[in-house]
This record gives sequence, C-alpha cells and structure tokens, in this order.
Amino acid sequence: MANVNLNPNDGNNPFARTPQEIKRKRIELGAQFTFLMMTMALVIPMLWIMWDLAYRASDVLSYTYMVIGVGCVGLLIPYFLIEAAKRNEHKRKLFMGLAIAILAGISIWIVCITVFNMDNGGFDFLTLNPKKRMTAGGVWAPLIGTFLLVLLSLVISAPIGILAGVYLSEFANDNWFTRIINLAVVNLAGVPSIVHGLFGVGAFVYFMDMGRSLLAASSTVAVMTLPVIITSTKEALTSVPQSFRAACWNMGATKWQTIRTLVLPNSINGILTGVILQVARAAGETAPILFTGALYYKKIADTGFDSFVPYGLEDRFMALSYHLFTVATQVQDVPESFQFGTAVVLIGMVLMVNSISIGFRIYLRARKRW
Amino acid sequence: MESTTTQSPKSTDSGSKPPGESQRGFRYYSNVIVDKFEWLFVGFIYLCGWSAILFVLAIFAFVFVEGAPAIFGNSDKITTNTQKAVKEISEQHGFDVSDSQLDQISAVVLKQLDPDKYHTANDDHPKEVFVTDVDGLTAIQKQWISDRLTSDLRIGRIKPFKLNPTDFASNEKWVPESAKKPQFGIFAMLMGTLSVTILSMLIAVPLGLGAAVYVSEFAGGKTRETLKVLIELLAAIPSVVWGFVGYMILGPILLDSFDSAVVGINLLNGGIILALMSVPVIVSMSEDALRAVPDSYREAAMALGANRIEMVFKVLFPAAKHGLLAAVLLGVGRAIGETMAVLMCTGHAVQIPEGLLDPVRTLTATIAAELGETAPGDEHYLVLFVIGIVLFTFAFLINIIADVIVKGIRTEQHG
Amino acid sequence: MNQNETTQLTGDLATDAPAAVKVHHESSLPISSDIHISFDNVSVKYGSDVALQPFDMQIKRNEIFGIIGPANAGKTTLLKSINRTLDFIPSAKVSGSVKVNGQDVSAIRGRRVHQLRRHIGMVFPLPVGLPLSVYENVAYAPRRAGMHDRRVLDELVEKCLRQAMLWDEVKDRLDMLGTKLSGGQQQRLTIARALSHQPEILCLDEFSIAIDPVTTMKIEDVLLELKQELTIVLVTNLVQQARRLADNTAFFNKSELIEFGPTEKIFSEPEQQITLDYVMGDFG
Repeated sequence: MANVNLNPNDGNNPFARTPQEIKRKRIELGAQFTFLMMTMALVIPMLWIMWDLAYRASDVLSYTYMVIGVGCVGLLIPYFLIEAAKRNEHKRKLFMGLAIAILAGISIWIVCITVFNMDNGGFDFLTLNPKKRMTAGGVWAPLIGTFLLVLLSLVISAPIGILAGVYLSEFANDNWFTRIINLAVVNLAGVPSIVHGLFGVGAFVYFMDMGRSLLAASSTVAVMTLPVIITSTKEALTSVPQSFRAACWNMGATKWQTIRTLVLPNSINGILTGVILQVARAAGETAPILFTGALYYKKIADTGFDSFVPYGLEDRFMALSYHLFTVATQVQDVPESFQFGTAVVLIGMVLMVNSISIGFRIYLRARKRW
Repeated sequence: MESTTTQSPKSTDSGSKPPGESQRGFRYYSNVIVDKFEWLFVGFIYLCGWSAILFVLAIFAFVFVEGAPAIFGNSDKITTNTQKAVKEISEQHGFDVSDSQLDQISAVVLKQLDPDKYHTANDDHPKEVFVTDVDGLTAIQKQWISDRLTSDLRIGRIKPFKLNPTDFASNEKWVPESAKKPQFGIFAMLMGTLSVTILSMLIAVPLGLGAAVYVSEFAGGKTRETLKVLIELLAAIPSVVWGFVGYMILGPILLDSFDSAVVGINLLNGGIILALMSVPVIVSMSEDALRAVPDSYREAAMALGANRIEMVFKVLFPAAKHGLLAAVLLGVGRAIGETMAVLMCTGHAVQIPEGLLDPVRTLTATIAAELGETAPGDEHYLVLFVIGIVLFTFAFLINIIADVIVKGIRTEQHG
Repeated sequence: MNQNETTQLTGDLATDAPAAVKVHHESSLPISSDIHISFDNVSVKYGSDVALQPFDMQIKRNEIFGIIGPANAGKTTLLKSINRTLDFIPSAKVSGSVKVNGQDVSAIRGRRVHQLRRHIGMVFPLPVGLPLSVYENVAYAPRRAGMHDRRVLDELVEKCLRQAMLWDEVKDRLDMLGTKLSGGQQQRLTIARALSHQPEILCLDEFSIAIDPVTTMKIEDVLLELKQELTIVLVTNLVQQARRLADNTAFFNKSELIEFGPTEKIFSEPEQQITLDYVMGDFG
C-alpha cells in the first residue's frame, strides 16, 4: 500500500497528466523549438558566411590561417597543461616539460617559416602593396592606411571624449543647457555615418580647408566616435556609487582629488572598453572617409621606414574598408581570392579588437571591487 | 659639510628633523605636483568638455548651414560670382568699377534672375542678363558686362537656385547632372529607403524578438553567454563587409534561385542584408528589456500554472513592451542610416520598386555615390546636403521617440 | 578667562598628540569663544520643500551635543549645512548663517572650503568602505592634506582604527579592500576615516545602526574620551544613547527645532509637551 507506483498516465493517479496538459506541454516544446530555430536562423547564416568568406579567401590567406590556428592551439595546449600541472603534484614536471616543449617547437617552427618563407606566398598578401591594378600584390598599403587613420582619430577623440565625459558627469551643473547637450550627444550617436561624412566634407575639407587628406578623414572619424566615447565614459563614471564621492568630499578632498584618486581608478577599465569598441568601429567605417580622404590607389614605398608611415597628414590615403569596396565593385578582373582576402583581413581586424574588448569586460566582471 | 648633509639626508640621523623629510619619494612629489596644479587639470577637463560640446553643436549647425542655400535661395552665390565676373571683365578691358557700381550691377542681376523663385522641373529662367541703369558706366562697358554675365548664366555659373519643397519630396525624377534641366526629386529614393527598411524589419523584428526571447528565457548558462558574444560580434562586422557579402555571395544565389531576377543585387538582397545588420541591435536591446522585467513576474505567472510560452506572451511582452518598441525603433534607425551595405547590394537604380526583385536606390546610397562628383556650392552639392538634413531629421526623430519611450518606462517603474 | 582656557585646551591638544601624528593645517580657523558652532536664523530649502525652519542654536566647545527627533526632521540636513556638503545638492538653499569658530561658513571661498571640511569629521548612517585598502581608506584624508610619510601614517592609521574599535579585527589584513569588510566593520571604518584628519568637530549621524550593541558601547566610551579633544555632534534616534552621552540635547520635529538645553532638563522637565512625549516614547 505504501509503495504505490505512480504511473503518470494511469487514470487512477490524481497527478496524472490530462490530455490537455500533454497538449500544452507539446505546444510549449514546439514554441521553444521555434525560438531556438529563430536564434539559429541568425547564428547559422553568420557562421556560414564567415566560413564562406574564409574559404574563398584561402588562396591568399591559407598560410596566415595556418599560423594563427597553430598559434592558438600552441598557446591553448600549454595553458591547459600548466593548469593541469598546478593540480597534479606527481606529474608536474612531465606536464611542464611538455608545455615548454610544445611552446618551443611552435616558436621555432614560426621563426623557421617566417625566415625561410617556405610556403606559397606566406604572409605576402598582408605585407605587399597592391600591384597591377589591384590584381596582384596584397593589402599592405590600405592596411597601414587604416591603422594610421584609427590611430590619428583616436588621438583626437579619446582624450577629448573621455575628458568631456568626465566634465559632463562630474563637473557640469544639472541645468537645461547640460540636458540639451546630453540629449544631443545621445542623438548624435545614432546619426547615420554618411551624415558624419557630409559634415566632414563641409567642415574639414572645405571650411577648414584641410582638403581631402588623412587629417580631414581622421577628424571626421573622430567626430563620429566622439559621442559614443562620451556616452560610454559617462556610463562608466556613473557606475561608481555616489556615496564614495560624498565620503571623500566629507574628508575635505576636492572634486579633482576625488576623481583622480577614487573615481577614475575604478572606472578607467570601463572607459577603455568603450574606447576599444570605437577602435573597431573606426576601422570598419567607410562612409565618413569616402569623401574626406580615402583614395582608390596610391603608390607607396615597398620597404623601409616609408612603408610604415607612407601617408603624411596632408596626403590622401588608402584604407582597408574603402579598398574592399573598390576591389569588389569598381575594378575589373580582380581575382576572387583577393576580394575575399581583403574582406577577411578587415573582419579579422575588427573582430580581434572586439574580442579584446569583450574579454576585458568579462575579466572586469570577475573582479568587481564592491 | 653642509653640502654632504643636504645631498644625503638619509644618513643624517637627527631626531629633531620631522620624520617625513627622509621618505619623500617619487610618489610624494608626484602627488604634490598633481595637487598643486589641480587648477591646470581641472581647467583642461573644462576645456575638453567645452570643445566637445562645440563639436557636437557644430555638427548640428554645419549640416544645416551647408544645405541652407538650397532651401532659402542662393542669392549670395550669385552676387559673389557676378562681382567676380565683373572684376574680370573690367581688368580685361581696362576700366575701373567702384564698389557701389558692383552693388548696383548685382542688384540688377538678382532682380532679373529672381533667386527666390523655386526651382522646379519646368521652370523657365531668363536666358540673358541685361545690365542697365548703372551710374557712370558707358554703354559699351555695360554691353561687355552683359555679354559676360549671359555666358556665365548659360554655363550655370550664376544660375539662380532654390529648391521647391513639394517638388523635392514628390518628384520621382532624379537627374542632378543634366546641363539643361536638372531635376531633384527624392520620391523614388524615399520609396527605396522605405521599402528596404520595411522589408528588413519584416525579417529582422520576428527573428530578433524570437532570438531575444530564446537567449533571455530559454537558453541557460554557457549557451546564453556564447550566444550573446556571437550576437555582439555580429553587430561589430563593418557595413562594407555586409555590402560585400550581399554583392558577392547573396547576389549570385538570388540570381540563381529566381528566374525572374534580372540582377542579383536588388531590393530583396538589400532587405536581407539590412535585416542581418539590424538584428543584433534588436536582439541585445530587447534582451535587456526582457531581463529588466522582475523575476517576481515570472514566478507569479508560473505559480498560476502558466507554461513558459504563456508567460512570455501574456506577461513578459506586455511588461517589456516599451523596451521592445525602443529596440525595434533603434533597429529601424540603423536600417535607414545604413550606407555602404545598401550602396553595394540594392542595385542602385532610381525607381519606385514594383516587386521584390527590382533594384532600388536609397537616400544614403545617393549621397555616398554622388558627393564625390560635386563641387562645393553648386546645386547638386546643396541638394545632397538637404538629403543629409532629411536623414538627420529621421535619425533624430527616431532617437528622441526611443528615448522618450525608454524614459517612460523608467518613470513608470519609479513613480 | 574663558578665552584663556580654550586656547589652553587646544594647546594641550597640540602637545599631547604625538608630534608626528599632527596634521598640519595651512591656516587654522581662529578660536574666538566658548561657542564652537552657532546657528543664527538658519533655514534650509530643497527647491520649494522646507527641510529646516529658521532656528537659532549654539554648540559649545568640547561637549557632546545630542540631536534627537523622528525621521525626516532635518537632522542630516543640519549636519550637511555645517561642512557645506549641501553645496553638492544643486537644489539646496541655505539662508541665515552657520558659524564655526565664529566664522560664517557660507562666506568661505575657494580652497578654504576643503580646509573647513578637514576640520569636521562626518559619519553618515550608511557604511561606506571606499574601494581602497583598509589602510588607504584611513590614510586617504591625511594624504590629501599632503602627508605621505609612511611611518607617520602607520601610527595615525593604527590610532584611528583603535579609536573606532576596528584595529583588532583588521590589523592582519590592512591591505584588504575596504568594500569587502562586513557592514558593521565598514561603519567603524567610516568612523576611523572621520577621525583620520584630526578634526576639531566630529559629527556622527546615527553611527550605531550597523554596529552590534557591545561594540557600540565601546565606541561610546571612546567618544567620552574624545570629548576632551573634540566637539561631538551626535545625531541619534536612540533616545537613550543621547541621554547617556550628551551634555546638551536638541529636539527636532518636522524640520523644526522644538527646543534645546541641558540633557537632563530635556529628558526630565522639557518646556514642550511634545518633547516629553518623544523622550518617553509616547510619540505619535
């Protein structure tokens, strides 16, 4: 009597499932499956597109894939080995030895193939300038152009943006003017990038007479990233509780002392995360540089110092995003692998920067200070 | 003796000296310096704050000021170009023109050309300019000036121009570079933008909301974190890469799969690509909105015997409706403002689309494609800036509405 | 005579305290009389809400001045008006004059405001551990005042932590984050911080909320000792705490000063009925 086996489908069991319940359960499962499919409808095309891009670029980038792949494996395996060595007292030496051996082997391998340039093309796609109307060579000139563009725009926008964020959230009084400015900043972050491009043409190229140049393009990109940097800085600053500030003020610390000793040290990581995200955005945007300085093709030095700083502030320059647009739609007879290779390099760059930012944020969440 | 003691204060063991003296290291001095020059740092912060504010205001001002002559008439340009031409002709023929005479000439020209008259497709501006009634000029000088100005008028250097708002908004024809009768009508491009945006939203909103529900309510732990990171990375892919994907990968697929498709880059292509681009915005914003619904709502729904689907549709969606609406609006904002992707994958034909496979052109793509060919100050350039103003206004309205909606939730929750 | 006594006392303070521990204030506020803090016709408004009705009150040097009253009586606002932290609330408006050592605090300009705040230690009811190490929490104010000598700071930190009854619990983990301490420990850390800049006035706002009764009693003993050196303003909603500690007590109700006077008088034969009701627990 005590040991009654409750069969869920038995009619005598008061907790048995009614047909209605079973139907509801089926509907629930069906809907959950639908939601899963919707998510997959986003994720799978994306992964497929990535794979397709990477696959069709493999003619010029196979070597780079290999080095990156082997590099990742070569770092991950020793990492796990070292972790295991920490836990396992007896085989510590074995694990550590294995880890060191793998690391050494891979570094020797990378050095060898880099020095002797064994493979087909090697890093040529990354290190050579475009040649023969973009049908040969590589993407070095646009790559370095994008790098300089991002660097220069960051030099302009990061200090101004961060300090403006500090000003708006710590110093400015809360009056109608500040509220309008805050609203303007938020709205500016949502303005289409082509409008920023228009602003750059009107303000920097013609009004300030910079002409179409690296400087004008960097300033335009800087103005585009400025509102987002201001917003993320303000967010990072407001995440520091007000009570900390009040405690410092009560001890006679000035506003600046409070900011320097307490607020900034506890929000600088959040601020940097925001700035890094804007690096990725600046590297990928095309519309703002289209009319402010980017160029189809510019011949630059192949080697030496000039190949690293090929564009002066007054010069027009090649940029990777615009180069992708060019080789895809404007130039005839570009090999497919070159077009896809350019896209993969651009995506790789942007996603790498973004992953750094995401990793940074996860790390920050793990070590919360209050 | 003295010098040795001052050089090595650590060696002197004197009890009378305050103990602070011996340990002043780098940190001490850096602190002292930073505190001493506090006004400098604070001043710098103020400077940067205000320059950023100036930048922000300048963006608003500049786009409007650059486009203004197209809206209010370009009489300034006519005046300057007329005066320039008169000076050239006077140097060429060797006579002097005073400033008051210049003013009189430009007044006469403005009167004859009437720049306050709207530019329309059919307008008939005078073909010749006659300079009369100017004090102190001989008849032959007036004749020279008139000839020169008439030729300037024919090549469009002193052309009067003022955009007719109704014609601008309703004309389907966009022929900006025509020498005889340029036409500036954005209706077709407006339709292009609208159709691409609507199509992309039809795809993106259900997918985005479904994915947000899955991520926030069904997926757990690691799956959830992975999906969120993937979606964030999806949001980071540059628009030119999306355009490339549409142009190189999706285009050929569409061309193969639809017999009636003439080109692979068309409305459908643009819609799909834009949907993929705006989905991450929608997912992350609506996921935030769903997460913001307190867990007590979920528990109460479960306690009443609702299953998770009923909970999602009957409890969470009503509770988070403002946030979801804001998410959709921001997705719309991104779709309207997108440039490079639509430039590369919508086919770039100015026409009102009649089917999914027609190529279209959007407002943003027009600016991106044509601004490079224009000279500052001429009509085409001005009209492109007016299109910029239109886009700016769209973005601004969408942002403000989304902002108000989100603020609305906050006050609802707190008050 | 009075004048002499007070100068004598501050002189004692200066010599009794270890020379190293003395924080050097660039310009000490002048000592004028027996009255340390005086409120002349002071009233505070937040926008259109009246937080404090106009009132006059004097707090004597080296006494414990108790302030009692129900919630929302304006007690915390009163403390904030002394060290001018009301400046950080844009809507707050103070009229009348708060005088510390005879000097009107609203007349203080520029950097002198920070020196005024260094003369006044503040402890608010919510425990706030700064996200710095315990040591740096206590050394924060001296460092801002320009003291960076490790040995002096060590002594000072130990002294303040001992006075706040926290030393024994944290002496082995001074490099731990102040935010990771328990609530009661953080509250005592807040008290130690308030003492760390060697204030002349110590304002305690319901300091015992997060602290257990035994430790509270110990801190109360410390306060009685500190009375020799400081003026203590004690805002409390524990009526008996005010009775135990305070020399003079003021009763606030609904943003109004009802009365103030010697503690015994307030507790045994106050002038207003409402005061008696409150101290007897018959309020409301």
